[in-house]
This record gives sequence, C-alpha cells and structure tokens, in this order.
Amino acid sequence: MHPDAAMLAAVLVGNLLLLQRASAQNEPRIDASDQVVLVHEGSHSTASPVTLQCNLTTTHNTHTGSFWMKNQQEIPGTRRDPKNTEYRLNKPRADDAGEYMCVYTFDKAPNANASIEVKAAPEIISHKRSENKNEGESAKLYCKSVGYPHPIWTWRKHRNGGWSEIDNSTGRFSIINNENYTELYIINLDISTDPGEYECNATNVIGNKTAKSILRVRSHLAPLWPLLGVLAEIFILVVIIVVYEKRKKPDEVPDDDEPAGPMKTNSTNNHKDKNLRQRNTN
Amino acid sequence: MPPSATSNLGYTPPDGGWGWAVVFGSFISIGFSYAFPKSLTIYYKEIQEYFSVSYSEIAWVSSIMLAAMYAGGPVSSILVNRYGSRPVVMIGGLMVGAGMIISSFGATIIHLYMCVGVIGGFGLAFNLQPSLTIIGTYFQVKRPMANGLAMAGSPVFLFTLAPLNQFLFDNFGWRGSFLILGGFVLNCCVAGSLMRPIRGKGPVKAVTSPNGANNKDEDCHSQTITTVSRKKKAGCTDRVNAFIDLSLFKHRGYLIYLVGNVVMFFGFFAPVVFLAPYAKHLQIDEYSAAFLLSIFALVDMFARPLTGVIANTKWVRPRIQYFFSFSVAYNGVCHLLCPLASGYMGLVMYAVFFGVAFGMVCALLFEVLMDLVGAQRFSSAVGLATIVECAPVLLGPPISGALVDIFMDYKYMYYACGVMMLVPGIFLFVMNFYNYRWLEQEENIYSTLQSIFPVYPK
Repeated sequence: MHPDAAMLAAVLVGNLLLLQRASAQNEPRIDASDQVVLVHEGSHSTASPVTLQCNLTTTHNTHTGSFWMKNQQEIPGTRRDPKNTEYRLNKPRADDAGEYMCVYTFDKAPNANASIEVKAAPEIISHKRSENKNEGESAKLYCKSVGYPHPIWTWRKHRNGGWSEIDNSTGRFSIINNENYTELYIINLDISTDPGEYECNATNVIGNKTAKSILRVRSHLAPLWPLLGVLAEIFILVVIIVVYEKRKKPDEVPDDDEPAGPMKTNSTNNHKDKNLRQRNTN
Repeated sequence: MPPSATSNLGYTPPDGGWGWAVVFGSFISIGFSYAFPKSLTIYYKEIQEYFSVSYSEIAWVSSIMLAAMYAGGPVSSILVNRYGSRPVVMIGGLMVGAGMIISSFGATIIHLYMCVGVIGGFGLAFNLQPSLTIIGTYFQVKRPMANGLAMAGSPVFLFTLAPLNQFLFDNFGWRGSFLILGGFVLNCCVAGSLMRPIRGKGPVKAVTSPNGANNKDEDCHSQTITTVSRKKKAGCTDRVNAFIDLSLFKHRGYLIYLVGNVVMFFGFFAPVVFLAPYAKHLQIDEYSAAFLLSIFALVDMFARPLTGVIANTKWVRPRIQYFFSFSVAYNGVCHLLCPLASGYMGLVMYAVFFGVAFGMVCALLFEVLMDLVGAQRFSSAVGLATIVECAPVLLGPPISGALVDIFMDYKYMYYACGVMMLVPGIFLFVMNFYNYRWLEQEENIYSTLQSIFPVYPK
C-alpha cells in the first residue's frame, strides 16, 4: 500500500473513532429506574403503586420536552418539560405491564429515550367457557391474556383423571399463538374422544395462569329421544280425550231449539236483538 | 240503557261444564299462535351464522310467519264456517309441526322461509281463529271471562317458551331444537281434540230453519224487500256469503271497530318491541332491560283474566264497548307519559302500567267483536278483521323504528304511539256512544212495528 494512502486511512479511521467518542460524549445520558415486577396477591388485588423515573443527566443540547411511551405507542397526557419526569401507576394491574419508554425531545437533535420494563405474570382476561357443537362440525377454543413479557401458550386436555398433552395423531387439532392470544381449532369433531375439559396455560418469566373450557359434542341423534317422548305424550293425550268423548253421552248440552211457533220468553229478547243486529247490515 | 249482548245462536250455551275444557284448549292454541313466532328469535343469531346471511334476511322468517298468520285469517274463517273448529285446529297443529320438523333438515334459508314462514304461519292462523270462535259457541253469560282466560295463553306461553327455547338451543343446537319444537307444537292437536263441537254438530252456522238465525236468508230477504233491482245481485252475494260473510262490511258497529283497530294497531306492538332497546338507551344494563320485559309479561298474564272478570260484571258487560275504548285510550296515555319516566324505577312503573293496559286491550279485543256481530258471524268477522289489520301490525314496528332512527330519540316514537292509541280510543268511545243510541232507537222502532204487525217477519 502506498504510504500516503495508509496514512490517509489511519487518519480517517482515527477521525471516525474520534467522532464516535465525541458523539458518545455528546449523547445525552438518561438515568432510568430499574425494571419493575408487579406482584399480585390473588386475582383481584392490585400491586402497590409504582413510579417509573427518568433523569436526563448529560446533555449538550437544550431539551424541549419529554413524554412517555408504552409498547411503542405514546401515552396521551404525558408531554411535559422538566428534566426528570416520572410516570406513576397508581393501582397497577396486569394490563399495565409492558415496555415503557421515557422520550426526550431536543431542538436540533434526535429524540433520546430509555426503556423500563414493567413485568407481570399473565392474567387470562377472556376465554371460551363452553362450546357446544354437533359432531362433524368445527370447534374453536380461545384464551386472551394481558401481561408482559408475552406468554408462551400450551393447551392440555383432562384425560383419565389428569391433565395430558393434546393428542394430534388424527391431525384435526391446530393451535395458533399470537402474543397475548391463543386459539385451539378442532375440525371434524369426534363424539367419543373430543368432548371434555381443555385448559390453556400462559407462562412467562414471572408466573403462569390457566383457564378451563368445556367442549361438548352433540350427537346427530340426540334430539330424537325428546321428540319421540313428546310425540308419545301427544298421542296418549289425544287418545284419552277422544275415548272419553265417545264414552260420554252424546247430548250433554241443554238444547234450546226454537220451535216453529211462539217463542219461549227467555229467548225472545235474544231474537229481537239478533234481528236488530242484522238489520244494521242494511 | 243500551241493549245487552246477544246470542243469535238458537240455543242456550252451557256457560260452563265442558266449556272450561274448551277454554283450556283455546288457551293452548292462542298461546302457540302469538308466542311461538316471538320465541323463535332466540335461534336467529346461530342460524344467521350458519347460513351466512344478514340480520334482515333472517328477520324475514318472522315477517313471513306473521304475514302468513294474518293472511290465513279469511281462509281459516271459511274453513271454520264449513267444517267447524276442531278439524281446522288439528290440521293447523299438524301444519306447524310438519313445517318445523321439515325445516330442521333445511339446507338453505329459503327452506326456512317456506317451512317455518309460510307453512308455519298458515298453521298458526288455523289455530287462532277457530279457538276464538268456539268460545263464542260455548259461552254467553260468562263469555268475557272465558275470552280473558283464553287470551292469557299468549303471555304464559311466551314466559315458558323463552327459557325452554334457550335450554333446547344449548343442548341440541338449532336443528335439534326445531325438531323437538315441531313435536311440541303438535300439542295444538291435543288442544283441537278438546274443541268438541257443540251439540255434536259441526259448524255453528245455522241451517235453513225458518225462524232460525240464518243471516243468509235474512240478508236475501231484507234485500228483496228494499229493492227489486238488486234481486239478482242477492243471488251472487248469497253464494259468497255461504263461505264468508262479506255483508259484515255494511255492519255499522263492525266498521267502527275496524277503523278504530286499524289506526290502533300502528302503535300497539311497537312499544313492546322497543321496551328493551329504550332501556339500554337509558344506560340500563342488559339483564335489567330484559327483566323489564319479564315484568311486563307477568303483569300482562294476570291482567287478561282479571279484565275478563271485570268485563263480565253486570255494570260493565252492557257497556263493554266503552270499556274497550277506555283501555285503548289508557294505552295511549301510558305511552305519552313514558318519556317522563326517569331511571330504572320509572321504567318499571311504566312496564307495570303498560302491562295492565296491553292485557286489557288483548283480553277485550275479540270479546267486543263478538259482542258487536254475534257469535255466529264472528268467524267471518275475525277473518276479515285480521286481513285488514295485517298492514298496520306489520308496518307499525318498522315505522316506529324509522322514527327512532330519524330523531335519534325514543320520545318521539312514544309520542307517536301514544297519539295513535289515544285518538282511536276517543273515536271508539264517541262512535259507540252514538251506535248504542241508534241501536236503542232501532229497537224501539222494531218493537213498535212488531206490536202493530204481529206477524212481521224477523
């Protein structure tokens, strides 16, 4: 290599290193609080209040403001001026967990941020409690959770008095996992093996949580027995009523046939009014 | 004092005995007729998902069923006039049962339209008319009470069918439920078998007895007296009148009834349909809103027989038309005051008062018709009335819904419904006042004529 070129390269590299160090020196430093783990005693109580703090220490540029972000989205109402900002979680719940970032905005420099992780054990907020389907149809069991970091999902089935892995030898089961959501999809339901209790399990570094769902498979012939029962009841009732009627005396109703002559007094009134009504038709 | 209700039957109805079994049969038939279409709505969501259709397409099933039920009214009347109540009710029950069972195997929504909608609707029409008609043949003195008891079938069945349908749906899905309901509805045949024709004779329509209650001859006769030129026409109308009594359209009382009812039905059912949505609109939770409907149905259940008993008393019975117009107007007042109800307790009060009002009108609806035209022509009268009332019944809720959508406020709908019930109520009251007076005058004229000409034909 030409000695001039080598010198040029060394100077360039040296400059680059210098530049890096200089920018490292120019880069603002933020002191952020450590990661927090929310601890719950029981499902309804909340952890004690948590305060996330960020302190802007070294900076060469004036900063114009700061705000907080949660899971890459700005939290509204957190834009403020002071150098140390804090974000307070008064009654933190599982869905308050996530990756929080304090972001400082500058006049002539890009934003600087620091992230604080708030971790919590997963809480299953909704799941399919029971699913009733006919045999041969498809069933979908799902579970939704909140918590951070996003859990790992597993499904189990209650079999022979204990929980065991789902047997997918028939290839009818499929599981779709997506951060805080999992779905167990079963096609072509089998009435002998599929019904029972299923359990979704959400596990992360802090803890785990389960939720149960019951799957019932209806047989095609299931409604037949009640139908036959109802038809039998109807048939019996009709027979009883008809037989009772045949055995009763035919002339049960006191007849009041008017003879073709003078009327009986108690029906005269009726006839007058009757004709009156019909007269109205004209 | 206005003339009392007439019998024109030609015999004294038993007013008891087997009549109560007939009332029970009518109770079942009427219950199925009114409550069955409403209770099927529980299955709509699942059927909608199954066939992948929109909400309005599934709502067509209800509309077709109701339309068939009302359109089947005259057909039902003709059949009852010909064959009597019992066969018609049993065939109606078989039709609904068969329709439901076939529809449980249906592959498209069109199958449901045909089986549940058309066949089911006609079957229910064949249940409703005969049940009402046969009460008139068995009861005279206690008829309002019998009518009130029979009409109570509607809320009772709605109360029981709603949770039953939910249970069936959870355990058997919609296909299995339709299958079982098809069997269950065959109980209408049991009800029909209870409807023993009176005197062992089929139709109540009297035959050619000279002094007999034969309106056919009477019409002919009076027409020949009045004009000679109309003699030929009398022959044609006679033949039609053998099937259904079209001369009813000349009956003054009947026309008053029709006009009042047609306007009333525009605002009759809409408040029931919108009770729960209105409650939810006022930020009341779903379960409390549904509970309002249960309160309404419960009050309705007791109001109907009670109204029947009150209408039967000797003070009310002769003036039953006034009682009916009062109950219609009372409905209107309830709706006009409803927007003043604040909070859940206000709505509960409204539901109670509305339940009473609704029950009163329903219990008296057919009783006053029987009172006006007599038990003999009742069958034709009710058939013609249902086909005329078909339009307001079917159009009322959608129009009210449109009012809610346009103004984004329920109070205008309640005002409209209130007016649409108050005005007919007052109209019926005034017109019946005159009608009673004219009837009294005609009765006086008739009795004077009869005293002069003893052989004056009736």
